[in-house]
Amino acid sequence: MPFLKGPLIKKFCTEKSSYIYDVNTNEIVSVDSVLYDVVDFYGLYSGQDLRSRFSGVYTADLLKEAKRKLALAKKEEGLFSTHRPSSLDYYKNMEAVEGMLAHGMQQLILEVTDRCNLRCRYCIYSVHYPHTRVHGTRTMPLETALKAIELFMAHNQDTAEPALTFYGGEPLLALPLLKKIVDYLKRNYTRNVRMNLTTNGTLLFEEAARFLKENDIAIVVSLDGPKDIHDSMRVYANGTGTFEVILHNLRNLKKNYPEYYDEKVGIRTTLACVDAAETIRDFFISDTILFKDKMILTGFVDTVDTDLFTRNIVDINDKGAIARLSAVFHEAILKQVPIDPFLDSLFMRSLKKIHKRIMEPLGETHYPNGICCPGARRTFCTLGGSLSVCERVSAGLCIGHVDTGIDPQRVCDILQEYIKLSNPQCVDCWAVRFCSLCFTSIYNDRFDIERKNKICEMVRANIKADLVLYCTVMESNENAFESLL
Amino acid sequence: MFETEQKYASKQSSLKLEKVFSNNRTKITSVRDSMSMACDCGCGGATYPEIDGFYAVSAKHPG
Repeated sequence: MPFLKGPLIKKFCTEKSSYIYDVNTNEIVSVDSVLYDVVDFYGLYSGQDLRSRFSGVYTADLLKEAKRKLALAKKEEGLFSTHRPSSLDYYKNMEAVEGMLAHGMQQLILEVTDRCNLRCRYCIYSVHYPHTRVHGTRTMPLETALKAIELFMAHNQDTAEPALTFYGGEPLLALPLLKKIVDYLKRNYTRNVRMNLTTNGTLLFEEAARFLKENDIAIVVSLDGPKDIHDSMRVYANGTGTFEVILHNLRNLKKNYPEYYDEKVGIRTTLACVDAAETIRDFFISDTILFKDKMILTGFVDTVDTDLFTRNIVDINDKGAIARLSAVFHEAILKQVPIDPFLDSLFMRSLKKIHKRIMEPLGETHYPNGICCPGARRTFCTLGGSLSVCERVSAGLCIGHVDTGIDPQRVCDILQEYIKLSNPQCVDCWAVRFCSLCFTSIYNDRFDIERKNKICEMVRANIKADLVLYCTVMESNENAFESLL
Repeated sequence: MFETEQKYASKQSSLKLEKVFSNNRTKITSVRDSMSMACDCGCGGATYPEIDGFYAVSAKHPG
């Protein structure tokens, strides 16, 4: 007898109600406690089994009615189906991959240097992370950079707005190289290329600022909050904090190039200590000159490949700072006051994903939302000219070289390996329609499904927390996210 | 939003079962939509800052 599976669903509760997220329809269903309890066994248990299972809890009539109601919902609405996709599916076809690589490259990321003037305690290039390189002393040769640019520009005709990202190390340590690359690009190509970089902000002096502004290069500056919090993590090699110099540079940027600062500068905040989230938010709110309406991107340290931070990390779903901030967020939605950028980043982005979900039935095959077509969505070019899937994956996931281009067969092989390893878990996972995991989850210096499974647990916990918050907000105000659609 | 409530109520049941918070979006309408379903952006948001979902594993960034 084949192994029977129940409905592909996720149950969760807010303070007011019980819900079932139904994966096959993408619907959220509000149910009473009886249906909430019984639904797990729908399709698996006979009436007799159900009565035995809930003996002394629910009456036989109630259980019969629950079964009838679930059956009706399944028949008329397609809810509570046990259907699972038969497989994951994405760019199986070599021709499709070749087509994407021929004209659809969207983003080139150049590792312009592996040097960094900081030694942030949580940096993935520190010795605490075994699967990534460590800080180095090299700068990308100009010849390598230009070959990469030529490859990129020859294969991005189908992309509306190709993007060029300067990556490091600290990219501004390679400012002379950046200038030559941008000059080459502008002299040799007429297409508009969107450029950007993430910087630690310590080198944003006048020369760099003017260059960035004049070339319309968007930047994201890493700033973790007030001085004591920021300086506990983001330090120079000698251990000195970097807060003061970054604030000084941001103020000068705002003063000298206000329009550029307002439109092209974002802030990246890594919550190394989740407990401090409220203090960090207060910091950003209090400085209205620098941070009012500023795009803030929040993130958390990578805890999968190191145990360095486990003592600092508080579960995002606990009753601590994040839970208190979610209550603040909820209150702001209720009162219809503007959401500040910190809360927006922390909560609104993931709630958008739920609110904007596509209400189409889950198909026979399903492609994982997170993975891209390597080489097309982004291509990471290392200092030595190797081309890799992206900057977040070890350079070992190589797909070509600037001298020889991208190898479509290698791209197909990587996709198939990901699909093969992920398939058994993903097709049976309730979070499959919201999940955005990609190659970064499965590859460190080898394909590692155990690593991915650990990350999957975190992602599912986060998505469940998002569903709870989403429904809590919608219970109070069904139009809370109307403007997002 | 609570359109199915009456439907089920009319079939005489005391058990509550209603679809809620549907959004009527049945297809991807733009490239941006499909991007918003795509991976968390490792560039720290500089390229596609509006991409949704910043989970714990997305904080890898240098500098």
